[in-house]
Amino acid sequence: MRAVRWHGKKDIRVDTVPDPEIVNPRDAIIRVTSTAICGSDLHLYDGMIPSMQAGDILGHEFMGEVVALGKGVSNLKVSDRVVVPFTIACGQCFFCEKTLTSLCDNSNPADNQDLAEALMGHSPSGLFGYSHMLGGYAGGQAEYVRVPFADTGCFKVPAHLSDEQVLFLSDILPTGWMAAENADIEPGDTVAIWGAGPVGQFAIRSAFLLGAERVIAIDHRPGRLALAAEAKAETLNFELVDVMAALAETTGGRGPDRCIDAVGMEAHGLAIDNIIDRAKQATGLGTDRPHVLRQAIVACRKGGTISMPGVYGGMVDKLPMGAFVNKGLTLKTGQTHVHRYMKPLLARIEAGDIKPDVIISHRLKLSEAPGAYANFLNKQDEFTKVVLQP
Amino acid sequence: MSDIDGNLAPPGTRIAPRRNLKPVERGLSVAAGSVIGVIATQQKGTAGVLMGLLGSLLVARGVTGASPAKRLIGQRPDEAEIAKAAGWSSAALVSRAVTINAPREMVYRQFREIQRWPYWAFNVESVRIRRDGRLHFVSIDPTGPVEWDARITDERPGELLAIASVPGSKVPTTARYEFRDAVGGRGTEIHAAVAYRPPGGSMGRYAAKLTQREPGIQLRRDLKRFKSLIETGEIATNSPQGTVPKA
Repeated sequence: MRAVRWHGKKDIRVDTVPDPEIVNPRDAIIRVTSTAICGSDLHLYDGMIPSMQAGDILGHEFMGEVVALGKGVSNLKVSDRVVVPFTIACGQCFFCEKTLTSLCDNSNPADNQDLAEALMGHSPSGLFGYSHMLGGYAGGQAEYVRVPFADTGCFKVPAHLSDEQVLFLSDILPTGWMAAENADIEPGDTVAIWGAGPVGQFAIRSAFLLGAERVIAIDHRPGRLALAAEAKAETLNFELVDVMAALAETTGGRGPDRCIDAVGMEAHGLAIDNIIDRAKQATGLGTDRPHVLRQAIVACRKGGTISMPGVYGGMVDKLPMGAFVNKGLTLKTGQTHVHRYMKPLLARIEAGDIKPDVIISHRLKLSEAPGAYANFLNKQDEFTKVVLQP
Repeated sequence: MSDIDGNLAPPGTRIAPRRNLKPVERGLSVAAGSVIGVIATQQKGTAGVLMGLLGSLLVARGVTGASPAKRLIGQRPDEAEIAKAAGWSSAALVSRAVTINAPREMVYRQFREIQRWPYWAFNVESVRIRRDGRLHFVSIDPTGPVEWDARITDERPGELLAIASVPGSKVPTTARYEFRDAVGGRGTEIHAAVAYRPPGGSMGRYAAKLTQREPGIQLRRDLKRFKSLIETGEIATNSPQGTVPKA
């Protein structure tokens, strides 16, 4: 089959590789009908995530048709049309039972848990196509993909919804939703969201659905800010206005009640702390650029909540912990517990509350993936979201 | 192996005291440091400075009775006790605890099926039960397959299983597995401790770590695979991409 493989920093190729096979009883093989490039794939593209190996198949947002099933799967049948959460979950461990599926104890293979444990103390769940520390599983930017624990990991979708309407249930829609949920939004709240990429866009829409009075989107790409404005968010272009002053004044000096960092470890912007972080990243002295998190802590109103769907990979420093403590803030984060949001968000899509396909800017062939990665990174204003068809 | 029941600290957490030198070692350290210090005063340039530094470090080591280097690489006190009790030249103790989301009786019953260990203990190739009740293991060593016999030395069903290699084994080993209810109804904890006489002493132990065959690494992974098997009915693998499970 053809598959998008990582060969190194900024080196993505479409190669012919062996087809996946059923290995374990609870496996399924999916013929991929649609797959997308995620903003977090750009962290891999940039070589920011440790433990990638040349030849790894990328992709964790995908859907398709079941073509083969292990003998342990009884709730699916061949030809079922399914969306697959990017977090792999067994469904039976302590964490899965609490619906914290991105923290599954068992889906990251025992050998792969070593590095995760060394860095983090404990291993989170395995993910599709996202480094060996997080499972080393082949991803879904391919013609076929093996789905472990398929009885928990394949979510059937109705025929009357198109791929484009349901594909993002695999990651970014639940991620944006959980970001808003984690923000503990109360009626009348003003929510500031850094990053108007796909996750930011869904966080904006979710925040309104969860009762936010005002949503302020912060980015520097006019196209993405326009998309945010379409969802009735107010917009701040950080290259044109002083974000801290603007947030303070527009909220009457109180500061936004809830702040969402939908940017993560590779913040843009010409700020002094970010320049220092960039220098540290370039020389191997630091891993993450937490400019947005620092700004959110200082901007947030006293007693407010910071929700952090943005991906961080290693260590951050110069975090204003004094401000965080003295302002009595709460920080909530985590990889998305995708499984628990599939059903309610599918209902939202069917009801027309959320139209996930509005963020798609490009529909390309799988073979065009290398160019798509480069453009998604370098022409962010134009390339909001790329969907690939094998 | 040493009895861990009476000790509140779990195995694997004990470290040598900060002051870890015997009076004789301290005296020698001060004496050697002084001599080097005196010689240093007669040297010129960098050599003198370095010798002076070495001399003062040795004196400080003797005066304080603390050697951080020895503490880091030397045998831990619990390992020394095990070696002494077992009559081994040196001992290595590895331990690990895991929580399994299943009732204790069930976890114990599955664990007690020792013939099935190769399914989740990837360094064990096969286990056969001999007519006299002894266990015949074929395990994979860094050097290749190794056959050895063991016997169950202690058993309290649902609570404890202890196994020891019979005298004359190439790598004398004792293992002890305790089964406890996790607080708050959170399943079963297995507390495993494995002591063995490392081939090649402590250097051999580091060599084994490099080849991922060190018992501590194996124990950690084995318990995770056992947990996965009990909780999910299978052992997660990313094969064929990436790390193929090692036999």
